[in-house]
Formats: sequence, structure tokens, C-alpha cells
Amino acid sequence: MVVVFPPIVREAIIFSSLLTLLSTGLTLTYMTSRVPNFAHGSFATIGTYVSLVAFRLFSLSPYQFIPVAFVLAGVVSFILYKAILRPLARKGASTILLMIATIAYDMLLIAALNITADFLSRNYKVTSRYFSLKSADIRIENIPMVFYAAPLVTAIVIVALYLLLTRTKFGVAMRAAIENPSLAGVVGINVDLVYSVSWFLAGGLAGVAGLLMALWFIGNPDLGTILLISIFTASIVGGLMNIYGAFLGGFLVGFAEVLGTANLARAVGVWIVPYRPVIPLLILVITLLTIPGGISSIKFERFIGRVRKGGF
Amino acid sequence: MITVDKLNAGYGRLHILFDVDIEVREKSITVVVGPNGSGKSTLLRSIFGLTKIYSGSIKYNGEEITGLAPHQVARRGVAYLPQTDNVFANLTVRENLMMACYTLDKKTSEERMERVLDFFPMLRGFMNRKSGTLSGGERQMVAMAMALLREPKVMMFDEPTGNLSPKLAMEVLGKIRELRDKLGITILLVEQNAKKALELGDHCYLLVSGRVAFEGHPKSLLSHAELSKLYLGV
Ligand SMILES: Nc1ncnc2c1ncn2[C@@H]1O[C@H](COP(=O)(O)OP(=O)(O)OP(=O)(O)O)[C@@H](O)[C@H]1O
Ligand SMILES: [Mg+2]
Repeated sequence: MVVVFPPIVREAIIFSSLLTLLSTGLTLTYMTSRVPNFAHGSFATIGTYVSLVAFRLFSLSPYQFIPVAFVLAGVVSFILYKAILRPLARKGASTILLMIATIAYDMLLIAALNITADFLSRNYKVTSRYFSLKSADIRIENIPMVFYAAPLVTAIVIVALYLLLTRTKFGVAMRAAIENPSLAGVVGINVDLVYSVSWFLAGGLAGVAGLLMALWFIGNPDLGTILLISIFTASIVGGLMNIYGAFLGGFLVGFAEVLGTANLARAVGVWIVPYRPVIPLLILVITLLTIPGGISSIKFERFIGRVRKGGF
Repeated sequence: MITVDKLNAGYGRLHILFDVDIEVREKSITVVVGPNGSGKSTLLRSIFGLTKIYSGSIKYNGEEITGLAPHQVARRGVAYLPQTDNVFANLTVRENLMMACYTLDKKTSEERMERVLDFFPMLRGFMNRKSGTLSGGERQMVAMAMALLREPKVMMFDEPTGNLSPKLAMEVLGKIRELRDKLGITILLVEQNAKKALELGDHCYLLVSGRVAFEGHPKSLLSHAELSKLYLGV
């Protein structure tokens, strides 16, 4: 039996999967260094341009360039940590200052992405702004492969992260360094290495998300910046300190955003579509007002207990 | 083995230790006593690179270790049992012990784990529990086990008997003596239980308001009528 999803559900699945990859990374870096990273969206845009280069310049499938996007965005993220955030933190910089440093880094990245876009259009006559790479995707029974690839990659990443964090010594050390960096150092864990790996992984996952995003959404140097609200909302809904929370948050926000916008457009008219970011913003506000600790802070055991007792 | 020379250290701009000189001799027990807030824990943290050091030097076997990252000090063979937050509360007891063996290979870790669990048999029943759910004393045992697992050359204990029952506290102090006598481990011990600790020690320091107020043999500190009355309560 073949289940046929309406196109809008298909879009919601792709968007939510990729958003989950992004929010998981954001949460990971927040957990390790307690810095809200405003450059995270642009790490994804790097992947988007890797897609463009792969297809237009090398005439290869963007899927073949997944490792390139992963490493490139990972390195850019690692540099932010190692060359900027860590030296500042060692000098005693506050969280606010570090956050502003990530905004500055984001500006640099956006500038670099714009330069890349100009370079591609001038020298190679490639449409490098508001471009679509839907034609670059492989079709399986007339369904674009990204519809399968996005959730599959996300599922693999989540399972791999889970195994890493619970079954490997390095992963347990990551959790140890997140909880108590001083004690982690005392038992011989190289905390700086653990944090560096987290930043690299987070950037890499964002790069992969951005690469896949190019196969469905319109690519532009500010793609990641626009996504930033959704990424932060997904992470905060998930609780910011819980990777699996970020996963839930990604799906919740992704579906609400795509289906909400589509239904609103049908109800009140297409003029509403550009206001799409209002949906994640609203979710963000409601979360912060009602469950500031996010989904992962809810004590479900207590909730179930109360329901059983019948008294609410 | 560890030489602290004219150390000035603190937290941010908060200056806590003033010109502290400490010498920890090989295969001996050096005891640091002093009133609450006098800077005993800060001294141990400074040796491990966990405070801000303004001036002075810390040498380990003649090598300058001032300003090294904590894991670098650890990997030179120094273990440290902090006074507070000395276990990973979100990890299970097994994972905590596994982290204490972070720098060891699998076989060695398993052997040492067995030995340490024989010393604290109670821990066997807790292996899969999150350390954060343990009682204060149980947690202290996990922390102690973590330090012992490292089988280091130097061990720094910050109030190892805190939270322990008097019986277990005596056992732990006995174990510390054994570490010196049987394994030849060098020990730096901070202890609230001053009398018991001083009986154990080969050399001692009295720290008052971040300065060394007395240095010498524990017996002479105990027999120093004024100091022992003022600061030791004996
Ligand atoms: N992380 C910190 N930031 C700022 N000040 C601190 C910090 N830790 C300790 N202090 C201050 O440094 C001083 C010395 O503290 P320390 O913990 O070294 O004392 P102590 O001798 O170990 O006392 P106790 O016997 O109570 O354990 C105290 O005044 C304390 O308030
Ligand atoms: Mg103390």
C-alpha cells in the first residue's frame, strides 16, 4: 500500500526534519558553552551554497556533497568556538558579550555568502540568489528524494547521537563536561576538546540541513538568518538543555509553521504568507510564558499520576 | 613533590590567597587545617588550575604547572577529591566510575573497579542509579571511589570524611594512611576533623584568612596552646 501525502504535509515533513537537525545542533552548543549562537542559521546557508556549487559547477548530485557540507560548516562553527568564543570566555566575558560575538560572526558569514553569490553569478553565470534546485533532486516514483532523505538523515542523526551520548566513553564524557566542567577536567577529560567536537558536530549538522534544504526551498544568502527564529523556537520549546527536547521542538514548530501558514492563507488570503515567522514567534512567546523550561522540563510522571487520581 | 611558592590566587577580582608557600613532600601526608572560609579549598583548586592565579608558582616534581588546564594536571598523576559537586549528578554511579577511568584502558579500569568496589561494597547496589539521587554519604563514597580509581602519584582530599558516619570516616582516614604506607602515594589532606587528621599527618599548615599562620609538625601545632584553642577547638 502506498500512502500518498498531500504536498503540504510533504513540505511539513521535510521542513520539520531539517529544522530538527538545526535545533539539535543549536541545543548541543548551548548546552556545552551556554552561548546562544546567532550564527547557527548561516551555517545552514553554507550547506545551501555547497548544494548550488555541486549541481551548477560540478554537475553532480548535491547528495554526493553531503560530506563536504558537513565538514565545511563544521569547520566554520569550530572556528567560531576556538578562535573567538573560547578566548573571550577565558578573559571572563559574559554570556551577553559572547552572544554579541556570535552576531558579529554571523554578519561576517552573511557577507562571505553574498560575496560567494556574486562570485558565482559573475564568473559562472549561475543564478545564485533566490535560486531553486528542485530540478537537481532525484525522483522516485515522481516523488523527490529529499522527501525521504530529510527524515531519514534526521532519524539516523538522532539515533547516532543517542548511541554516542549513552554508549561511548567519549559521549559520556560529553555529558560529564556539560554538567560539571571542573570535575570533568579533574578526572582527566579534555573539556576543551569535548566542546570543540560539539561545535564541529553542530555546525556540520547545520551544513547538511542547509544542503538538503536547497533541494526543496528557495536558496539565498539570508536563508539561514530567516530560519533563525524557527531554530531558536524549536530549541527553546524543547528546553534548550535537552537534545531530545530539541528533536520534539523541531517537529512541533516545523509542522505548526508549515500547516499553520497554509491554512491561514486559505482562510484569510495569500497576503498572510510573508508573515509566516509570526507563528514560531507566537510559539516562542507562549512557551516562555507558560513552560519556560520547555517540553523537557514537564514532569510527565506527576501529570499522569494526577490524572490517575482523578483530581486535577 | 608539589611546591607552592608565593601564591596569590582568587576568583575574578576576589583575592583569597596571599603569598601562600606550601611544600608537599613525597610519600608523606601533608595536612591543611583552618577555619571556614580561610581558603583551604581555594588552595587545592588553584593547584588544579581552577582559580585565577595572580602571581606565584606551582611546581610538580620541579615542573611548572601554573596555568595548565585541569586535565593536564590530572594526566600528570594528580587526583583530587573536591569538597562539593564531586560527582556527576546526572550520570549513573557506573558512568561516574567510568569517567574516573577516562584515561585508562578497558582492562585496567575493570581491575581497578573491582578493587574499589571491594572497598566500598555498598556501591555495588547503586551502580545503575543516578548519582544525584544518592544520599550525601553515599555520594561521598562515589567521589572517594572516583579518586581512588585513578591510582595517582599525588592525591588531594578536600574533607573526604564530610557526610560520612563516624565509623566510615575512621575507615576512610585509615585508608588514607594505608595509601601512604602501602602504595607510597603522596597526600595533601584538608580536613575539618582537625585532631584526627593531624594525628595522621607528617607535616601541617594552618591557614587563616588566606595566609599561612603556622607551619610545622602536627604535634607542635596541637601543643601550641593559643593556636589550637583559637582555631582547632581541641
Ligand atoms: N567560586 C567562588 N567565587 C567567589 N568566591 C568564592 C568562590 N569559592 C569560594 N569563595 C570564597 O573564597 C573564600 C575561601 O573559600 P574556601 O572554599 O577556599 O574556604 P575553605 O577554607 O575551604 O572553607 P570550608 O572549611 O568552609 O570549606 C570564602 O570567603 C568563599 O566565600
Ligand atoms: Mg573548603
